[in-house]
Amino acid sequence: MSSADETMAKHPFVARFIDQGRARSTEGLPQWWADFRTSALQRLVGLDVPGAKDEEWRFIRLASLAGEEFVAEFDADRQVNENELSEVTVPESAGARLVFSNGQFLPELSDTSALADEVTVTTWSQLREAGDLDEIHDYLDIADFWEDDLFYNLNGANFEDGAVIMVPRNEVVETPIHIVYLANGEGNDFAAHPRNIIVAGESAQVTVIEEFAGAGEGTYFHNVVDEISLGANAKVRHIKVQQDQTTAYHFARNVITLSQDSNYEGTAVNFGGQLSRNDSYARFDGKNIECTLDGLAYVQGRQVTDTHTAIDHALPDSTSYQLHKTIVDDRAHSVFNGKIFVRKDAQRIDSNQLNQNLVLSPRARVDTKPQLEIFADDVVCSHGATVGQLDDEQLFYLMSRGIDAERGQAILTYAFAAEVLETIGVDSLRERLEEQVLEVTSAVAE
Amino acid sequence: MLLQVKDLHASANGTPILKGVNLEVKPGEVHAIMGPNGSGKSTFAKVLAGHPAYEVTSGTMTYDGEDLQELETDERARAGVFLAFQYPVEIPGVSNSQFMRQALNERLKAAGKDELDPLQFDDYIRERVKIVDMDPKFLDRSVNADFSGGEKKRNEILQMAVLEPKLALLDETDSGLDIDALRVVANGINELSTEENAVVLVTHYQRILNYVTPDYVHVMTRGRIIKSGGKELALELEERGYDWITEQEAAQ
Repeated sequence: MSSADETMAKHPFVARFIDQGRARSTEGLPQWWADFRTSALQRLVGLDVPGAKDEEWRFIRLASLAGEEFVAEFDADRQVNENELSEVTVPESAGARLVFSNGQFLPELSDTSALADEVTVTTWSQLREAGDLDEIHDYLDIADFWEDDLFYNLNGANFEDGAVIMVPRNEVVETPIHIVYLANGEGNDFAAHPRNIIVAGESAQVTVIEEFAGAGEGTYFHNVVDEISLGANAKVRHIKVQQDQTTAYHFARNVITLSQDSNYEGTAVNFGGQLSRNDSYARFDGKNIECTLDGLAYVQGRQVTDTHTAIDHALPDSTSYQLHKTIVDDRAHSVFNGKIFVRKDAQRIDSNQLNQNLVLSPRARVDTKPQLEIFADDVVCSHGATVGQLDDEQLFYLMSRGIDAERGQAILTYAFAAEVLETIGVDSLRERLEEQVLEVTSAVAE
Repeated sequence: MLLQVKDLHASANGTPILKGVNLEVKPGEVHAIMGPNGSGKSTFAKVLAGHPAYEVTSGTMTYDGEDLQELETDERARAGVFLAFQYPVEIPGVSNSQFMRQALNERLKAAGKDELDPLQFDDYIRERVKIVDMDPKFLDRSVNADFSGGEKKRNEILQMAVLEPKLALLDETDSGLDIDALRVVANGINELSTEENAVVLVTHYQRILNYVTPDYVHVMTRGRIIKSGGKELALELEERGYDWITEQEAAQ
């Protein structure tokens, strides 16, 4: 079937994923899912790999990704390295963990026994097996922001698994739910398209940790879509930790829709991947909403990390906060583009955005582009971006107390990162990440 | 001799600031270096501590038998040199107590002594904060971040109390303090003074010398110490200002 399709697609990279999508089983697929897959496949036929002329992609190059030939995740070995799993264990999430390896769910390593029966914490594959998918239909494709985006559609055409978390009205989930995506990439150059659905009903509350981890050197591709729906007065705390192998590719699109009086707090930590892209789109569908999109990226070697966010204030009386920090060392490159839209009738919006970049090496590169589009007149919007090095006076102060230069640099780098990590309320996870920043900085300090 | 400075010249960005400083400090002594703004007295303290903005162009600084120029800033600190900053630096994200524990442990390690674990340090620091009458809540905050001017100066003296240096260089620690804070800081300095250590107090104002009694007072202008005397010299400066000394020097 493939030769005719390949000539239809503009790029062999895209054609390969069209083939993979078409090869996927339709067994147990409800009609709406089959239709969604078909429409994504149709859109892919018209899509090319974005290039430097595309505004959304101008700071990074996708040529190396587009040159890779990934196998579909179902053809990859999914053996799990138990050490790898123990390294990412979050004790607070005991009995509330879903584990995937190479994009496929591993029920034997997952355990949701600590959660109340009213709370749904499962996966697409399990629901499909049980013939129980229909309740998530409404929470698929909740915004049309990425309708023509290559990666969103690659996911749409190929996703088969991912976490499904549904917290009903008034339910407060105290145990943070941990979604773990392991990768054993070596010799398994797979592409996986996880799709995570998080739904918080009216006045529901939940914390979700979404973590990607992989050791070794595998060239694999995690192409993730998260769809997060908040009902009225709901509160979702979403901590994403991306530590894919530094030879891997990680792309993610996070869609968040917020109803009145709801509160979403997102923290995205990006340490891994040779090329990572983490984009979020938050749409405000009611009044009195609070939304936080914080981020910390730390890249070294020749890693590239790119974060694009869009906060869409369509209605009045809401607040958004954003603190995005990046640390770039060696020849690494970080990109930040933060869009804030305040629509014509969205009065009394309070929006704060700050992007701070710490450059540890003369060959490292930072591109930052705050982007405010304000069409209402009664708003308070502040934004800023800084690019700087470690502060000499701070370093001298530490050294004047007997701390050597190497350790001093590590401490100051850690301190820069700490402001974002401090917002992570899950103690063991926060401490693990803080330790990691200190260790990495000590290891690379000259 | 704890510190011996001979004909020290130093410059910043090629501009000479210290132009032949001589000073000898023995253990157990308190020295005050006074002088008008821009005389080089703060630079002198920073050069002794090893600030990278200044280059020593000639002369020598010998501390405890060692050539200070051979030592990096952190090595000087571990050897017992301490600089209380005129403008203590804020370091958001680094906890004050963890910072001090690390600094103390570096000093202990260098002296071949056992390091303190967090619990031992906690006991130790809770005793030391009493010397500067400081609320222990400041230990849990980030280093100097959002501290008032007086709190920052107290925090400097607290670090001196924690590290127990042999040579404490106090760079205008008294400037900007109200009288209550000044008393606390001065009492701290007095309490920490022993026969084994020495204090060099760089100050613009005579007032702190009502609380800390110097053995020697030096007057610095234009990068040199031009007059030295006992504590009565400070009183004379208070009455007559600096002009008569500079005129005296110019006449010579």
